[in-house]
Amino acid sequence: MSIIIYAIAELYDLQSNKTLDFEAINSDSNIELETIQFDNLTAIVSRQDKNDISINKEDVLTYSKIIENIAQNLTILPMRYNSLVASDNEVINILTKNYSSFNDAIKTLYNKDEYSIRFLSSYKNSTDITIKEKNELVPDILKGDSSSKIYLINKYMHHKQEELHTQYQKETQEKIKSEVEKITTQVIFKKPLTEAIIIDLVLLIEKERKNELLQFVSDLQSIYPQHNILLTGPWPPYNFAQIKVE
Amino acid sequence: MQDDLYEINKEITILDILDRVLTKGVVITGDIVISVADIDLIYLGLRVLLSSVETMEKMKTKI
Repeated sequence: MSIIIYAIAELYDLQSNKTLDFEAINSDSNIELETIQFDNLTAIVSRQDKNDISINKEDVLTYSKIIENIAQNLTILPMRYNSLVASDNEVINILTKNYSSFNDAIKTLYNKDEYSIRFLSSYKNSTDITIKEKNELVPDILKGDSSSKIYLINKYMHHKQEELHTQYQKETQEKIKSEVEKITTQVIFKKPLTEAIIIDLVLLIEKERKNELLQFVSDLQSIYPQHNILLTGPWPPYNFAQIKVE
Repeated sequence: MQDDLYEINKEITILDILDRVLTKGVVITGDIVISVADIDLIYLGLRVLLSSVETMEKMKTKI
């Protein structure tokens, strides 16, 4: 027997909430949710017979859907997948030991949503080196037709291309940073997962400022027509609730 | 065209979900969070994202 923890929330927020329907979530996911409380904090959990958690895409998506459903109605700290403990006492222990940090984080996240903005582009579109530029960039010492020289030129150009790409990313990020800070200061620039992503940022914004965000993204798209700008969200605040608990 | 866009967005959203659920949020210290299977899952997501970006670029040219 083990307990899966999905999220931490404030008890009063949970009790006063009229729209959160645990029964609907339970019947949708086939998982029976319940709560374990300590003072003003509550952990939203489910119980299972086995002592480990299955790692497959379907179960991860079900887990995320449960958290998403709860986050639509409550301010929560979402737990990372595989948050498994052995007993109710362990849950209470986690709530007790991390009481201050959980309360502080919930306060910071109250009534806010997380969004993600990505600038997508073909790397070649923005920083491709033309043949003319290539001739100018290659140092004389590397020029030549032998196979070793061609190898070195290719290596050198690859390095140059990466350098240009990084520089372009940095410059664009600086520009975006000053713009995005007009609507929120809670912004995290993430290291892009692939070269096809120029900018990858997550931000936290008050729910009522959603229209400002949409306008902001629309303006960005006009300023950067060479990129596809993707806005996703609202997300549970995963990126702004990165707390390590004991 | 609408269907293509829907598929692309769906793929990217799945990547986003996996990235968040498996690597972000409150984490219990000492917990074994990522197994080899998880890494494969994320890696698969990245490849999906890469291909969707290429598709997007092609669509952009068509427009």
